[in-house]
Amino acid sequence: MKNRLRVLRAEHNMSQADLADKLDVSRQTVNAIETGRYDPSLPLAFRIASLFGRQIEEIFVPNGSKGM
Amino acid sequence: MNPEYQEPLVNAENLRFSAFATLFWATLGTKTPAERRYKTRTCLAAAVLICWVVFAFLVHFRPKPMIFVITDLAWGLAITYIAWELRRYLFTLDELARRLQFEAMAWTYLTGFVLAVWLGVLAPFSHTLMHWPFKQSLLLLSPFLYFLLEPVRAGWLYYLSRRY
Repeated sequence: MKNRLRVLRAEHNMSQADLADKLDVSRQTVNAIETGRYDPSLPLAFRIASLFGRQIEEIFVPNGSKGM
Repeated sequence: MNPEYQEPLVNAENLRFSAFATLFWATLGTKTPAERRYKTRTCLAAAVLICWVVFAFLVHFRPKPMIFVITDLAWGLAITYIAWELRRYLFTLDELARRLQFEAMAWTYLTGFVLAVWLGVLAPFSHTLMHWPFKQSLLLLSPFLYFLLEPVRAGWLYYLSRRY
């Protein structure tokens, strides 16, 4: 799954550690999500979407989909 | 992307789970309070156990049944306590770390099972074909004992599956 997490994080001037603190996960987890090596659970995806005030589908897009 | 934003300089190694903590402590090294508590209490339990074993060894020249009983009990209690602390630690992990821990446990189980079966298969061969001495105590490693874990695992699986 592709995602715009790195872009959104940069838009909000947040480091991976800042985002990890806000999401209550480790920095390694944020990094793994950003690099596409780990797909977050639905609750975590909702927390991410809520944090940035976006819909989940605006942040996460399945592989093969257009628009990212 | 915010043009003024600058990604903090982070060593690429720091983006991964700590190799030392993973290999030495099997904790992924996220440096949370829960991880520190787990390490501290595990060390304490191990230290108490080692102190007792050393004490028991020193009084070995005057063997007393009670010493052996307490030593056996100390092993059981220490391992149970460490398992309890590991359980507490696992429940504090975030989803990726917990997934990694449980995947590791699943693979460990599978690896141990396969190795035990091969040990059980090879032991009689080495005795029959190579004429190596066959020690009766090796039967304690019988792979069939591992099958005793299967009903336990099935019981846990049933219990956990009731939550969903």
